[in-house]
Amino acid sequence: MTMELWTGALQAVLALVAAPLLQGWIKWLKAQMQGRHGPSIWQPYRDLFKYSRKGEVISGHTSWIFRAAPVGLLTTTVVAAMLLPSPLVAAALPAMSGAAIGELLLFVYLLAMGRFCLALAGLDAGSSFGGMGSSREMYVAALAEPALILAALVLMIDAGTTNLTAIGETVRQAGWDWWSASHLLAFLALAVLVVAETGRVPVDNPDTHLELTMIHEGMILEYSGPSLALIQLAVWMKQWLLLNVWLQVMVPFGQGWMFAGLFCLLLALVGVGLALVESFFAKVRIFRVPRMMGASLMLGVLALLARFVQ
Amino acid sequence: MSSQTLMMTAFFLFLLGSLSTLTRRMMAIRLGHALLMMAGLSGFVAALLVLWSGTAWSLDLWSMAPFGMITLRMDGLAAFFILLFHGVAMPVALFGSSFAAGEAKPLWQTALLNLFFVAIDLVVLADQAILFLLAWESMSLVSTGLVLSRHEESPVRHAGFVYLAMTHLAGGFVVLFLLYLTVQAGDGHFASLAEALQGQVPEVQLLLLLAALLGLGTKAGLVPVHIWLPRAHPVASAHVSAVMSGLMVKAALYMLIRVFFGWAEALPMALALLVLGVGTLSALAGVYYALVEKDLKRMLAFSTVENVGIIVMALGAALVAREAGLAEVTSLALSAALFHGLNHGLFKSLLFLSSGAVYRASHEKNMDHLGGLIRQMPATAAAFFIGSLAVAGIPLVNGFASEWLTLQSLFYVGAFGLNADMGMAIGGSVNSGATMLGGLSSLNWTLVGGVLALLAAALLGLVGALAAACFVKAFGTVFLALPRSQGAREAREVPAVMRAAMALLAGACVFFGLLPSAGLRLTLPALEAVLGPTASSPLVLMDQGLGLIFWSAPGNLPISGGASAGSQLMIYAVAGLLMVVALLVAAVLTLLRKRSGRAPVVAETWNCGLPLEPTMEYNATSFATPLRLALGFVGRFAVERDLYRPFADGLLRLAQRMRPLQGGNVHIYLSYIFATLLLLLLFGR
Repeated sequence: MTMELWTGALQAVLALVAAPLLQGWIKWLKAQMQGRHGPSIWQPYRDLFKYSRKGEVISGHTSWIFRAAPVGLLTTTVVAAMLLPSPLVAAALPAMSGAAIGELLLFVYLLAMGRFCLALAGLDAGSSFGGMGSSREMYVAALAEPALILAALVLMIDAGTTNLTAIGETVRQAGWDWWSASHLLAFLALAVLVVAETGRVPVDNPDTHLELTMIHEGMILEYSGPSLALIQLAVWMKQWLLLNVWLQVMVPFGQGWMFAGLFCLLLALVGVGLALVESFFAKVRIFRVPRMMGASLMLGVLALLARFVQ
Repeated sequence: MSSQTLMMTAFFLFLLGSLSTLTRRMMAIRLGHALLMMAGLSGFVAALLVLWSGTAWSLDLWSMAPFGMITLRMDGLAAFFILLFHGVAMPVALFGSSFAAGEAKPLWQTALLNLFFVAIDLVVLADQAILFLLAWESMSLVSTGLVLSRHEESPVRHAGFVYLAMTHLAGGFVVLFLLYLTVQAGDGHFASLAEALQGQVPEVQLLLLLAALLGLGTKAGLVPVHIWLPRAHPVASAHVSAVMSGLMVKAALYMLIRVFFGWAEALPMALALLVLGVGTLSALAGVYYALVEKDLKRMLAFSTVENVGIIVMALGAALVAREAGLAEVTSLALSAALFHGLNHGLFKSLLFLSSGAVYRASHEKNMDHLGGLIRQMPATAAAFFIGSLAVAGIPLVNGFASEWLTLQSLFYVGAFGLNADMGMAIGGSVNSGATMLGGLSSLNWTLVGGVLALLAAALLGLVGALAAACFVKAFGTVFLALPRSQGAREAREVPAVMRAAMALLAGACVFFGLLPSAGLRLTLPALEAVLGPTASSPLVLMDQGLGLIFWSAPGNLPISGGASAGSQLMIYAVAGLLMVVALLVAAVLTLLRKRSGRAPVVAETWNCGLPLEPTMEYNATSFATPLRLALGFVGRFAVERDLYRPFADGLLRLAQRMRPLQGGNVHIYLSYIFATLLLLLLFGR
């Protein structure tokens, strides 16, 4: 129990510290690809620092829900980070390998809990922007959910449990034989979902404040100062966590510094991939999002059928 | 006092409560509800005693010639449902004692509510076909009476008519099912009926089970025979709706469990998959209609359809697992179904009671006309908030625990179906059902069941996410933002009695959310009652790595026996973790605010420089629009228009054709009688 707590705490701290760096990396890459000078890779840390020193403006139309939501969001994300086994921690500190809680469905539901808080907060101020953001956030999340569950469950059939630690072990034992047709399809399905869940192009645009295009930014429009810092941090952490899940169901990470290095390299490469998608694709119309999610769901179904004929 | 005595006391108190309404007005309402509450407590303890000791009792009432002895029996399954009914009866009575006075015909409603509990108790306690049918019919009629308490309004009358018509259609199938078996068995005792059912040839058994599914499914509100539910439930008074939505559908599910698990021993895999499919369809359609609905109580009624669907999905998973020979997964899934039944009973009554409080305070039913109530009605808002968290399956509240368990059962069915070489106990009886279907027997039904179970799990994920969207919409438009009508602006918090009733139910929701093992412990006697020796405790399964663990040592595969000692975390540990982290985060936030040296400034919501008007806000309709458009294909098939209308039209046309038979001429009638007599003499004896 104590070991799990310490591992969890370490994972959470790692996510807290590294998540803004990942965000900064992706933004920097994107700027380079678009021929801009762009902000420094450390800009997210500076942003957090800046927000945390500013004063705060709170709408008089809001209730306790609005004040509690940033705390709720960051809390659920931190606890989710504690549950989720981190390949980096496991690789660098073998003693902590396998000590994470790793119940994947609980992880998904914890993220849903944070989303629930934030969506309510979006409605609380009574502005149309907030309502629009909440409505669209729940819309994207609802459409992504069946594809997410299906792809995740297909990947878990071999382990026979929804425990990510056990799945990590199964992947490790299987080695590169893990890459079957069925699993490849499931990775692909998850990739689409990671893009949607992290609020990136082509589903959402993280860089805009134009009301017609925004989803997530609309929801948090009323926030400022330290509250905004908490929300931003939680959002970047969520991105870090989702990429963590995706990488560890895909790659058989072992232990030792080499695998820690491999993990960081792969994460950086995924960042390149996300920046490429953001630079070369336009945001799709909100009513085209179901097609993307449908495609992801179909990939999941194909993965299941591929498993079925094996 | 023994459980039997307590149960009889409960019946006596219910009847007394019903009669007490013959006295003076104000006092009678209070007295009726007080007696209802006492009866609730008495039966609650009675059920708890049976669940605790694990010994069933039965009571012979009187002998009735062709049907044998009329018997009441409380076994684990019945006790579980009595516990739910009586547990909810107490807060409902408390709420009603203050709420009913403002409703139409309060005396009539109080009397019928007491009688309703007598009927619903008898439904689950009856151990004999004729008593069951009588109780079933009384339950339908008494609830119709409750629905029709505002019969002056034409939509209420229409709802009452649809309810009565559907409920009798369903009743017909139940009568057919039970009386056919009674004739076969020679007496109406349930044990004899179970034997008779097992003795039937497979085809007849299949038809009988389909009749039972249709009959009981109508009363449970399964799609497509749910159409009465969203009409009848919302037009009743809020505390009556709570009882109807939270409890009455459970009475049908009780019988469904008894018949499909207790009586039928093996059924075709196709039928098990049909149950799973019907559950999935109900859950999806229910949540879609709830999402696009803007009447608060109708939305809650549709959400009942959804939750009944989830329960039936778990039942389907249990049936598939049983056909595949997975005894442990069967127990787990059935336990999930029962637990979700309990949880739904709690959070749906909570939501209906708080919707009643909202209506009492604002006189508005339409969510698009509400808003901002969290300021004037903080207690009701908190109650509705907890109910919303529960129904949306958010961790730490009870809905999550059972939804998670249902997902896990579906996953296990799928993983075992696709993974037969995992060292699991898949017995030789795998294809027992498949052989019944001749040509299809070459198909590996376990594998098919596995694939379909995983697809159902994905759809359950969709249902959960849509339910979350639906209740963000409901809570957001009713309680947050600016009030959208005069009624909402002038709303005031409801009296303390009503708040106390909501607090009781909200407390129960949180209790089972933090201690799901307590709820699972309650389902064990019910599992033993229907599954017999193959039942295994969900708590033991949990220790074995299957079920309610949130982590176990890696490589510890389910049911492989190698349970890891320690390293098991209950959800309350997660709750503790969340609490500690939340305090930390809040402390950091406070610190940051303090350090910035500026207190938060209160200002207007940013609205591009224009004054904020309630009409600019997103409301229930606009919130749901993107999802309505994306999932429009669900709504395009209107059950009423495409299924019922042609049927009803056909029936009317047929009646039109038959009309000449009724010519009104006495000679023709006499010749009919003569012809009938002749036919009887020729063919009858």
